[in-house]
Amino acid sequence: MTDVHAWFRSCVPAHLLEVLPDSESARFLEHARECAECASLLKQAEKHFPEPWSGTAHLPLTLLGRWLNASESLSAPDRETIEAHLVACDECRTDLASLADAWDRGEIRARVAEIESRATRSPGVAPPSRAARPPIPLPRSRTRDWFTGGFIGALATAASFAIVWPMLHPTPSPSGHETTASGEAPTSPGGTATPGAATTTAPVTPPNVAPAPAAAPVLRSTPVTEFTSDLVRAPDGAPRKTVLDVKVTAHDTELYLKLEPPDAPDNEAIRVTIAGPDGSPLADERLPRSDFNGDRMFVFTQAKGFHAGVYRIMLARTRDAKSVTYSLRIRA
Amino acid sequence: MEIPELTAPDAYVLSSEQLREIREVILRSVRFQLQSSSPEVIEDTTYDAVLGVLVFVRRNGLPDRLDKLATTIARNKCRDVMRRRKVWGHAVDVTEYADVVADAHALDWLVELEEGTTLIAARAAEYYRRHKAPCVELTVAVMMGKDFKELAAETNQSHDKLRQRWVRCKARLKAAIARGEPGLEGMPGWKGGVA
Repeated sequence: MTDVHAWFRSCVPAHLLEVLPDSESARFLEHARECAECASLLKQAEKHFPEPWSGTAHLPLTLLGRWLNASESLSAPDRETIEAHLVACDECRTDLASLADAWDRGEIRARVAEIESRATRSPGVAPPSRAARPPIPLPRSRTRDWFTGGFIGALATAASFAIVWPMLHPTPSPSGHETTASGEAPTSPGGTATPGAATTTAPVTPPNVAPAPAAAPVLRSTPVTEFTSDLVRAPDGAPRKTVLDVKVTAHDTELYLKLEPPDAPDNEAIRVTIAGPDGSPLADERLPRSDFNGDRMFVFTQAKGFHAGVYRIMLARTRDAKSVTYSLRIRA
Repeated sequence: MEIPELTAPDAYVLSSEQLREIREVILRSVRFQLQSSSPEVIEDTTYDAVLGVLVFVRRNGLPDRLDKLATTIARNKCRDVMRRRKVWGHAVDVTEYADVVADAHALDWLVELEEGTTLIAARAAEYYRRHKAPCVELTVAVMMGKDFKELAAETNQSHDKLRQRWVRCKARLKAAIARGEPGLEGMPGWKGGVA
């Protein structure tokens, strides 16, 4: 009888994921009707289902611990699945190495080393970072506060992710973004642009990898380099405003912008328009949605430096013109 | 429903002194990793990580270096918080634990479910990948926990169509398990498996 209960318990995950074969499913449900204890177990599992399943596609630490300490408690196919995942996933290997440090046992270190060597020999396709994983759908009650703001709330939230980074160098330099006191007249990266008018968007490489493109664009996207890791995160509790406020010096010619566009599929273009303080159009570009991904920023260039005033940046979907507008206030 | 029997803290094999120590280690780690978060979030995450250590020790035994284990679990919990925050904003940081019974049996059961579902998800995704099935992306996405609304936006397909595809994917997977296809050994219902 105990075996039936154990079998029932082992079937619950498959039942929750709805991949239990029909014949088993009928038997499973029949047992749930007959046995009050198992029915209560199932009820508890159904109630909390999204919670125990992290939905990250990474291995839980308890499972890694079992694989390290008591792999005999896992079935052979499960062990193979875990090992295949570990070979392919850097993040889980890091977790495994940290866990292994908690034990002073030679055989554990040997197992970790073996996985490391297998990973070196055949690197697989690693899943994205755990922190970057999409979340499991949460119960409505948890998200109510976020939604009550409606469109304004959504706009404000999007704006809270927008970061402005003033570039204090006239031109991007391989050494980084340090301040300069040079009195030289600012020049565009390529030196050939028409100030305040050219609107070219070029897929560019980071400043420290390749030289800037020949034409001086007003707006271009660039991969995020190491300096953005602190900037992308908006400070907790910061007031959410649509106005981005930045102070520039007379020599600043570039601003790095982290823009959050309206929701759209990756293959849809987003129209980006920038209007200067006097309302003159400075940029009007259609960029793929993928250019707005978390690892890219935009460089807003003004070859002759920025004039103080309020710039309008509008990001609109090309299909239905749903848009997000930022006000960029530049103080001299 | 019968209320599960509460288990005394000493069932976790950790002394009060050890508990205090790991709480300190975890709190330090969580404060560093979630330094811009509110005290409530830090407290929540710390509590979560301490429970994580207790469950881990209960299931896997006491390690030689408890602080290393605590740091690893704390880092993991912090990443979960960051992941949730990334999409849902700050309003969902505080986790509601009111329904979760914090006793050993309930926690063990939740961990068992997490392990079981993760393994099935990984096996299913691997099976479709190996067979180069057209539904592999969908399976991987759904098994990863993506919701259909998000998927529909990403793939530019209708919500209903994706749901229909997923129903067909599941049916194929169920049939493959019932047929006892290689690659799905040991899954509940597999020919010659647990049943």
